[in-house]
Amino acid sequence: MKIIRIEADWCPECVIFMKPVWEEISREFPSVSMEIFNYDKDEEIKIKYNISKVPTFIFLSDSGNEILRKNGIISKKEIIEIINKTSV
Amino acid sequence: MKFLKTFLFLLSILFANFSYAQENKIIVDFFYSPTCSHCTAERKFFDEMQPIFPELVVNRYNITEKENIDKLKEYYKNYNVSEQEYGLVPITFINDEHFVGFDKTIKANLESKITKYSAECKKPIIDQKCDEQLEGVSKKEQIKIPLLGTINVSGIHPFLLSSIFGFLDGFNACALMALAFLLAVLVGTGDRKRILIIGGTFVLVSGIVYFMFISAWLNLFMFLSYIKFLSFIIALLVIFFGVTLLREYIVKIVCKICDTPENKKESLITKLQRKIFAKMSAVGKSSVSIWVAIPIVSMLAAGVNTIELFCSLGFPMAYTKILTTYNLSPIAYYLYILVYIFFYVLDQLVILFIALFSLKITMISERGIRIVKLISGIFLLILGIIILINPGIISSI
Repeated sequence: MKIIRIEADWCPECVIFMKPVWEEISREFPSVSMEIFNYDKDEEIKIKYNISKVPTFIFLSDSGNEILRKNGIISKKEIIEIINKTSV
Repeated sequence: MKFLKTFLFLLSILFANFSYAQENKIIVDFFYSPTCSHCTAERKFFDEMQPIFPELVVNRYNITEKENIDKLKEYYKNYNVSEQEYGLVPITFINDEHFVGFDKTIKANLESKITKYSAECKKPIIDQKCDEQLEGVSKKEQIKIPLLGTINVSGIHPFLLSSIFGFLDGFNACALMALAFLLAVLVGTGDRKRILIIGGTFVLVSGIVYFMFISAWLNLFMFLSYIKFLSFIIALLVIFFGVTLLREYIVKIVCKICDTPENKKESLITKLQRKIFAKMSAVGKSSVSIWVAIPIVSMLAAGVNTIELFCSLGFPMAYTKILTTYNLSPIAYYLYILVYIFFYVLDQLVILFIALFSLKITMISERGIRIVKLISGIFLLILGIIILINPGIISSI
């Protein structure tokens, strides 16, 4: 699975709350690939996924289809549940 | 440019003349002789009373000086002192009364008068403004709040008031968010020296800016004290900020600048906040020398605190308004604001030092921020109601 993270330099939720969570997820689930996009710089992604809140996390299947999207702060537990569900 | 003008305007208020704070003093005119033992006893008595009643002003006149003898003669005339009492010391004039000598009875009498005038905000030279406030005096001592019962407001020492407000304000969600953001970026570098110096600079400058703004509020409120409905406006604003925080708690708003709806125009404040946060992120991550980073972080701290002030306006507003009811000396006002700032900064220093040692941002969680908003919201709502239902607190400025 692949996770697209749309974040911004000015976003407190991304820096304070979500960054440490994603670091732990990367360590614990090395098979999950992650791509980080900057809301202010990556216009294409912003338009493609119709982003209206930062941070936005889009969970994609191996074939690239959007499975789920989450905004704002999400807990590590919730992310693990999503990964486990979609991996089955 | 607009922002700079606002900043300069607030600065000018900060350094404005404070002479109007001298109103509502208890003035005592005390004539004494340096060689008389009763005079010495009375001088000691006043020395003890003044720290307890900061509004007490004792004009001490040594009658061995000629100009004071002339002054005393004027007092004899104005107070209809009988000729038999001429030349006797000590002689004390308070309000429309005078006391010759100093013994236990006079001491008790003076003490009760000073206590009474202090409570009633009554000046010996009675002015109309003070008289008008007397009606609200009994209400000033105690406030009845629905569901909470009676609260004795006048009994709260200004030190305790400043500590509580400073401590609670230090945990305001906006101030916390800015500090946590910078620390989160700095922690990522793993450089403890940078965390301490850059984070410390941020906290220090935040404290200084906050001190300036609270002082400006204080001056502004005193300057505008002639506006009768000022307390009403303040109460409504404090209630507004309380309700806003409660709304944010209920609808779970943690980050107000994170929404980016396409069709909605973003406010100037949101844009500025984003710009400052992005700059903080850049400075925190960059490897520029600490000496270059310090002035940049100082400017950013000043900027973020100025903007955040609109976010956490409720606390400084309610605090300064209540502080003005204490009738303190100008220096005492500033000292109590410093107490407020000390506790405000202390909260942030604790967070800084935890980040420094653990290299983690603890104490700040989504739930924590929401709880802070709930507590602050309820607190501001109660304060707003206090200010609204009891004009006696505010009108004693």
